[in-house]
Amino acid sequence: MKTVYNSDNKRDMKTNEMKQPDMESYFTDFSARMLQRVQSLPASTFVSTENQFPQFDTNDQFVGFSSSSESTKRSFPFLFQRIASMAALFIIAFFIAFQQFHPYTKVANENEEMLNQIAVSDLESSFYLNENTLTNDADTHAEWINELMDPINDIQPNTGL
Amino acid sequence: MKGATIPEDSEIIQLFHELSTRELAYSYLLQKYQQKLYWHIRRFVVRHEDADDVLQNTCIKIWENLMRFRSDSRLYTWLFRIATNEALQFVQKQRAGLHISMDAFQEEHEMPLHADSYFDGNRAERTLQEAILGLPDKQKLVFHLRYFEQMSYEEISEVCGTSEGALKASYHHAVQKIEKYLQRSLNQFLRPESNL
Repeated sequence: MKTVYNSDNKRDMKTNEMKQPDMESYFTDFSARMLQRVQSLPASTFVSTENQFPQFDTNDQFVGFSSSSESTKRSFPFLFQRIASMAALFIIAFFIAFQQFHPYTKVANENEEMLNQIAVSDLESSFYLNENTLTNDADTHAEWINELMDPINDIQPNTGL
Repeated sequence: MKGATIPEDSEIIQLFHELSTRELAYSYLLQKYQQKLYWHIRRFVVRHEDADDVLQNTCIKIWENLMRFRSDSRLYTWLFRIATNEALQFVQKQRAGLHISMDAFQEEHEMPLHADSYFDGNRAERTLQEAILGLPDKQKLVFHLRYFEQMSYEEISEVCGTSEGALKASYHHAVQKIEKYLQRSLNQFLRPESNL
């Protein structure tokens, strides 16, 4: 049983003969069919693929589409953009690493640590002072005032004029 | 329409941009390219009925997108790109639907080649078609466009979006594989008893 197109472009299942299709009439019918079809088409029926390029795997088998062609991927602006973005990333990573491991940064970190320790000891001493201030022990209080006044007492009056 | 001179591509596009002459431009376009597109699709999908379906989808996409056609590529390479994409998509869907390997898919497509009443090729032509069917998609596509459509590598590059160097390599591999297949078939034909 052979399937052929008759003049109405319908599949004719009744013939058993080895017929070659009449391609000329097929194409004439096809044109008429398409012209009729596009007249009744809604706004957009299909997903557009006209600006897409086929993508192939390493075995040259089709895997899907991409909006950028392989030649675009090899073009100078595309490569330049890629190289520039990679260079920018490298510079940022280098800058961060430089900051972290530079000797000045190490010294600064050590200084900061030292300052923190001083701050903690200051806090402890101020707590001690406050505690002393609050006591009613007159001797301790006086001793503390003296201690505070010592640097002031050491200042010599300016006798310049 | 028959016998009338078909205008140049640029003229067809101009006519398509006018609402009053859009259908006329489309009929010119079909007249000029439908046969080429049909045979290009048919070489991929093999069956006439499948080629008819894929060609219909292709022509609808052409109608829907021709207004947006940018003249940075040639019209016919743009048309071939749509037809190629549609044919590849169809074959991929068919392959996925059948859940079969590439070899089985090839056999599946060779069967209608033998049974197809529309295929009027002689033995050599049929063997060539079988050899082409055994190629990977990219090599098959490049071979079709270069050998049958006689496109330049520059034009094929516009269709596939692949560099000319890569296309030349694909074509070379395709030709080598086809030669090997034809040589094997010829040996089988000349010495059939050796296969027993």
